Amino acid sequence: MKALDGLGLAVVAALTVTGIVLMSPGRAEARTPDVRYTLDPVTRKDYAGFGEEGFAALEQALTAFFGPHAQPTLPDGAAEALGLSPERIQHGRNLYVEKCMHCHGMSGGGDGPTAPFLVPRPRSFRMGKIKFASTPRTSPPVHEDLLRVLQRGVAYTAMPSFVNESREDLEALASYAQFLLMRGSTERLVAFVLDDEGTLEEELTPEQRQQAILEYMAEEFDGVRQSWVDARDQVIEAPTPRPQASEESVARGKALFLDATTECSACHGEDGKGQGPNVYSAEPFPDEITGELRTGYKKYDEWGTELKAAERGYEARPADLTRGFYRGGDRPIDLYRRIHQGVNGNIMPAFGGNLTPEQIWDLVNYIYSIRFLGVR
Amino acid sequence: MHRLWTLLFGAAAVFAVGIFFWAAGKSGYWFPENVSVIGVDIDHLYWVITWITGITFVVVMVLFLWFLWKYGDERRPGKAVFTHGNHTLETVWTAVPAAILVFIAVYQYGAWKEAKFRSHMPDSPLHARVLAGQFEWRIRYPGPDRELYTDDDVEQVNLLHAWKDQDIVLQLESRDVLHSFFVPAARMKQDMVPGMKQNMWFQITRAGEYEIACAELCGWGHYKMKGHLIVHETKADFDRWYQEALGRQNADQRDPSIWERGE
Ligand SMILES: [Cu+2]
Repeated sequence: MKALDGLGLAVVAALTVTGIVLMSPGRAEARTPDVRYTLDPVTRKDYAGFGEEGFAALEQALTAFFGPHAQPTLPDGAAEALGLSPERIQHGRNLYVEKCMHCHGMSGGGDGPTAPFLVPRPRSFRMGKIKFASTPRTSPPVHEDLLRVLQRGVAYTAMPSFVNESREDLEALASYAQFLLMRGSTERLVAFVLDDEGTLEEELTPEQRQQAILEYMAEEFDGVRQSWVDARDQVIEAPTPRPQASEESVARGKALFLDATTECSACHGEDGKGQGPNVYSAEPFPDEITGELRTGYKKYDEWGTELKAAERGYEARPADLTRGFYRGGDRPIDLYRRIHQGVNGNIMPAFGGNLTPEQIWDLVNYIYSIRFLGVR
Repeated sequence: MHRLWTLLFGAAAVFAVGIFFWAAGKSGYWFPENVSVIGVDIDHLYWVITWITGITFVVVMVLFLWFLWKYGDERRPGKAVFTHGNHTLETVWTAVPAAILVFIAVYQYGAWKEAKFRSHMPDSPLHARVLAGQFEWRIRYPGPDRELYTDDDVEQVNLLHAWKDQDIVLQLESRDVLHSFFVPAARMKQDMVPGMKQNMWFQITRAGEYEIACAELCGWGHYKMKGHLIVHETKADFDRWYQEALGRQNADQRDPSIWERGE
């Protein structure tokens, strides 16, 4: 009996201590001990010749250039040039670790612990682009694009809205996302140059090699920074307002939608449900990546293609235009930009060069006319 | 030594009652202040039930501890006596709780009817359709034409605007799993079942901003499924906001304000 009493007391004591520990407020730093930015798996796959030593050197140079995980920095006054403050980037990183990491991953690779369960996959920032931007598809997005995604979320995906967070926090998160995007594109460019120049095969001391990588990095980053600065002057605007959705305009839009030159319906389907013959097949076809026979969506977005990931969540799924929502936003200007520049990193191409603004508006009017067919 | 258990259980009971009173007096640990019409009845019911269960809890704990203390004395001489069954006692402890339950069932009926019976749904046009999904609330207003899915709809995420003293009638739907639309300050909660259309209605008596929470564990992001109910002082204020939101939504040449919640 005595032993039982002792056991009981021990249990009560243990529960009390656990309770106190769990209830005491933890510190953010204490929760993220010793994390680092890892290399892009695409770098590792595409440049396997670097070897572990080369990868370590590249990672070390990236850390020297962009700071360690606990202290991300945009070098060369890039933050200032883009109107981002270093404090905001730091604050954004702390928030990111708390709110975004479990989907987007510790290094922003879209590979957090939750990622494999999501369709579509969370965005990887490593390619330096996002799908829904207001800029030309060859340019990086702008700060406002990230703020918009943060506030609206991406409809019908796992990306939720953070509209009720403070503006300061939203600014910080958008700033840190830009850091990750710029860091990601720089890593890719530098890996390409290192491979091209054969730098890692040369007989160099570790210091010399580090120096050489850092020089390339500064050079490549300069270009990246410039493209981000330039993008701010390239935001797509419609020269004319959206005209009335008259019967004629809708009819012209419909004709364009079904036309063989635009091929809208080849992907979005004649009914607009997003399963046109170019992208979807109920008959077995060989998978683009694995070659195995399967049915469903035929193509992958760039993230899937780059990763060679023939997994759910990387397929290119054209929008079902009858469901009453669009992932890139449902304002007329969002649709205008989508048609004008397509979906960056996905198979939806840019029509800005082939269609006049009037034609784009006709298409928008037609698309609006069918948008609630599937929900009414 | 056995009497130590009495003290431990006693301490737990005192702690539980103590923490209740402590939390009740501390803002932030309790319900937010009620701001809805139906909330008055619901708070009243809440306290009636809390008093019934609270008194029962105290009586049961006192008896329990008294027995523990008395028979936990290791110096008590003799063996324990086992008894089996006592009809009077069993009848009493069955009948009394049953009577209390019947009382609660009858007593709450009026409030339940007001809050949930379709026949008591106010005869006002639909204010908004709330579509729950992992992990957000998509809120679509039918707009001036009072019809959903037309060009004067506004859709926002996690923001529900309304005005003071309005009969707010909502249509609740889920697009994936079970969710529950909960407005703590209005004391209103309604589960959302995929494939079913539910209605919810309430009236807020004070302008301000109140939390909306998901009250049904719906997945890993359940905790962040949070929205805000923004109650404007007058319908005119609401209409002004609506026109502004509609303007933002109809942006067709460049981006107006980037801030979804207005400047
Ligand atoms: Cu939920």
